[in-house]
Amino acid sequence: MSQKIIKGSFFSAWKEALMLLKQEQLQKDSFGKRAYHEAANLQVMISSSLPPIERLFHYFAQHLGLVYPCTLDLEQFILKKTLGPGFKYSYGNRLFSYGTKKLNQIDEYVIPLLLDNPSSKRATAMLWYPSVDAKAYKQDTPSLVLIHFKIRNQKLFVTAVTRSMDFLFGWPAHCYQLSILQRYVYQKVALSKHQLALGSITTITFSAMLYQDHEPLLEELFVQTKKLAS
Amino acid sequence: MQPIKQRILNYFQNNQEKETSTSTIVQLLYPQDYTQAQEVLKSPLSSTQQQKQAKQQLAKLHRKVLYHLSSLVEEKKLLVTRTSEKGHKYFALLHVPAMQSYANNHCYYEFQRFCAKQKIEIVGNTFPNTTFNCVLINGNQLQNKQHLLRLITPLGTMVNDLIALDHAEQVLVNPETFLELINQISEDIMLNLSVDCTKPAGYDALKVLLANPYPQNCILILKTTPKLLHQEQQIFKDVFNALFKKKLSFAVHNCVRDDSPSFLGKYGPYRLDKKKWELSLHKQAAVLLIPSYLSVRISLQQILLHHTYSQVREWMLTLAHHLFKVNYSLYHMQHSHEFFFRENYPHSIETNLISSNYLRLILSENDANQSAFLQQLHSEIDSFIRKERAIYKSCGMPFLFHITLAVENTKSIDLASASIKNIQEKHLLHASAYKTGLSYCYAPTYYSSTYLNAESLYSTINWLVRALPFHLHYFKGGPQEKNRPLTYYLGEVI
Repeated sequence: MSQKIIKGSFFSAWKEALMLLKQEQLQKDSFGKRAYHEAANLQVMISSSLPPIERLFHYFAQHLGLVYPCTLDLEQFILKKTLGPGFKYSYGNRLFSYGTKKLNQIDEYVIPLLLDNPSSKRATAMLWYPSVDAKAYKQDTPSLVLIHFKIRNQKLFVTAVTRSMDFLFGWPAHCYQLSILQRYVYQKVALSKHQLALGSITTITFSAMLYQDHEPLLEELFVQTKKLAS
Repeated sequence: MQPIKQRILNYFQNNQEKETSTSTIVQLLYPQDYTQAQEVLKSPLSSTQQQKQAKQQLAKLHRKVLYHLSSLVEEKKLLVTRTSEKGHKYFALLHVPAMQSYANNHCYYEFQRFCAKQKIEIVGNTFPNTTFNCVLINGNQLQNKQHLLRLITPLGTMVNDLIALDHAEQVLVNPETFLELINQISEDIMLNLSVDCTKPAGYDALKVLLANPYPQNCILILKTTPKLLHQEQQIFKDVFNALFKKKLSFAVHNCVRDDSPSFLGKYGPYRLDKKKWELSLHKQAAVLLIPSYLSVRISLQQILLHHTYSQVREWMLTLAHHLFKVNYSLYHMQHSHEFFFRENYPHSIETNLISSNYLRLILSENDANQSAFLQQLHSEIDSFIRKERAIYKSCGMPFLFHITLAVENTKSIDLASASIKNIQEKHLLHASAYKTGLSYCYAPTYYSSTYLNAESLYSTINWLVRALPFHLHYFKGGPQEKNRPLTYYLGEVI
């Protein structure tokens, strides 16, 4: 059963999603190690503002003493064509230069399509490749499955489908990356569409998760989100 | 650019993540006029005429600012994020980053400064131009001799410690291949040839290796089992005898304890994680693998003279943080490794599947607390790595990062004079750690100050392989010169 949240700002939508997840039943992963709350088919829509990920991850780093990706890392990961030797996959490689034929779905398909036909419903880029990812033993496969771009009412909207998402750390990072990609496409399409503005970003997650061991963070986090959002 | 436009742009660059209304920019640029107009509008004492003038003033200011904001939108520096119901526009910075190189990434220098401050030695690398510690070539995946030589040739400038050839029996049945291989490797790089003695091809390869000139930077690793050592006694007696007589360095790898590749460089032992190795085999991974990029050496002996275990533990965890950041930057460098792989090994994307950073510890002698310290350190580093991997994976960035604990062997054992009791006592700490499941990278080292006959040599090695819980035993050869003093050999005699 799909659950829908429509909110204007990043922080309010995120907070509401986490509170909703907290109410859900606990599940355990296949290895029985970590328990998590799970909601199926969770849809969240946020405005086009760039999520303040730097402040958020700085807050996490200070409180949890761990290393978090910076905005430059996230930007490089979604826009960089080449796959670095330390990674099993990257979104940038899947979108901009996949396989031996170096398939560039964004520059050679989505952008020309939207320029040619702004009302097109076909501007979709795939990140899940069955020939590579559909293997039972494979554990590291892209969370982000597809991204859809649409121009309506002179605004560029983005809808992303993810198969699973850790809503505490993963969702903010994915929203940031989608914002960056949206701006990348916007910049190129808006060259000839002067009236174009940025529309909302929607994520549809088949399996939205909140790990049980992250729950103690939430109370303090919700208090801090007001400061982080300001 | 006009000053007023630059001011607007500066504001948006300092508030990158916000969308801002036109009114906010008006307030920023014309604070006095804006405040005056607002006061008139809010004051109950102002007349209708005054209020009309204030509204006109505000509208005029809005038009001025909108002109500059629209100009910045046309220049693709700002974008309109939304328009409110009353028709007020909101703007934000159009944030599309240029691709930056990590060549001058500050995290390298932070890592170096941290290591220098804590007296931790970075082994083999000088930032920002980094090389790999070691490279493993999987002999089972090689097509022929030319394939091997094509792989080895570009590695000369990129490896600082060791090139290891696993399943060397697949390609070294021909003496010419062996000699060509040796010629490719410079003297300051170690070469390990791991021969699987459980296969018939292993014995053919051994004949070739023992019959030909053997450089001092080469170590032969004999992969065998205790059962095979017993069954093929005569063969192994002859092999050990030949190696000892020629003073060649070799190691015996007990496959029953752990059959994933293990080898020895000048900086110490390397050992692949069994699960990762099995996964790479299952996936028929690339022929070229990189078990280690970075190593650091820490002398607990020295550090514990002035600091507590608790302090050292904190430093180790901070070191793990730094290693993580440096590894990440390393993989993102626009030159060096990425370029090297793309140019030379375009199909070896998964070379880093099993890569690890090595923490090489020099332990202090006779310290009973070390075992508990190692256990705790191992578990905390493991926990840190799991959490970091989970965070980066949840952000859609499945980054491979591992740390392997390795213990350096500062003292070799003289087989000619040591007793069984001596040997057991010497390895008590490590043996008990292994038995409790804490298996770090460690290879006991032996030598002989006098000639041992074939029978006693074989018996000693056979006992070592069976009785001690380690999977790799290193027998250090010596130079060909005669009258080499005993002090030449590593460490002291026990």
